[in-house]
Amino acid sequence: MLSFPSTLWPTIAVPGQDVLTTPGTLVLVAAVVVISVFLYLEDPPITRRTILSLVPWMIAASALPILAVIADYPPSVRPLIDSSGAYLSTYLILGIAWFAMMELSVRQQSREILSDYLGSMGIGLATILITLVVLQGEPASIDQLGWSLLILFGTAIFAVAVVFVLGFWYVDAPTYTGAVGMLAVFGQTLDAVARSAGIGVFEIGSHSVLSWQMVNLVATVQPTASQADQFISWSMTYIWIKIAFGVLTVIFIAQYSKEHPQRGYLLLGIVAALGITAGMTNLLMIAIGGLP
Amino acid sequence: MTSDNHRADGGTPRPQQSKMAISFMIGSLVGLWLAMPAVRPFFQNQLTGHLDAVGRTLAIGVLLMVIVTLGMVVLFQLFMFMDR
Repeated sequence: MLSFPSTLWPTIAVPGQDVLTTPGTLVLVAAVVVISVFLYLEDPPITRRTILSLVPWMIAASALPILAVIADYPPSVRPLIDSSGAYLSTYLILGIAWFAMMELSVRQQSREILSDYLGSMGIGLATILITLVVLQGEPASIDQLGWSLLILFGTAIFAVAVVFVLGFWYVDAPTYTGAVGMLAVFGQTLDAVARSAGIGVFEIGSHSVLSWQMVNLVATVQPTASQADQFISWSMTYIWIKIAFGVLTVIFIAQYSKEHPQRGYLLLGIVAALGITAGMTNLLMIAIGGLP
Repeated sequence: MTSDNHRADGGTPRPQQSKMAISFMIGSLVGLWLAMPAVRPFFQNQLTGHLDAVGRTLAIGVLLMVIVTLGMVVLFQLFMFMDR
């Protein structure tokens, strides 16, 4: 039984509401499957540099759900850029761009530098979308903007330190995952910290399935604790579980990356993308003082 | 003979700055297209809000021409993306 006061948990989204069911989103899913098949058949080289070049695309995907709310999109288009639709739409554009570049590239060796062009394209996309979110969203206060930046840089430094220290016990982790491993830990940590700060401190944002389970767990274990104690218990449990997930992923995939580096980097990239997109959405919402 | 972005030993070529810039521009245009409902009121209210109807139409027309021209340059460069 949930006992948290509603003032501390203002915008709880019940998991399961975000289901892709409109005709437009079904077409989007079909297009994503088709472009994935084309990419698989092209077999693009996936290196650490490739995954790092996709980070701007992850950031761009995080801005779209906010624009879907604050801008006046037609109702038929909104599901395509809202929540899960934003991730799929961004992936579709990325896939089309990547596929087109590979088709236009004659020399096999040129494929290895396509990630640089993809990264540059992603930076252009993310710059425009983030700028528009800030312009349209009317940043709340310099404090909230400062907190967003502090969380961003704090978690980045933390992730680098975690993977570095992990190397003392398990040298394969930094050796076979490198910056991509750090990115995975960073993504998961960013998601946890930004979501906790957003919901608990700024009363902004919504729960993921996992964080909702943590709310229920804390409410079961500490039914009579105060609001503040319950928040601290929930946020600490949630943050540490996410960090542990990131670190364990790096440890297990480091082993796998020895044999199959391409697949290993891709898996780590997916873990990083899931964290970074959700975390950046929460950070942007904190920066603009929430959604109307 | 090798072009400037190809190493003489036939190894991995270096990325060209011009192609990086074009990629950035394509990304920006895609971003503007994706966020058009957010861009339109920004231009209408904040950039051209002090103009009358004729001035606003002219300003938006010039802006559209710039965007179309940039788009054509980008498309042309896109076709030049293939290696020479």
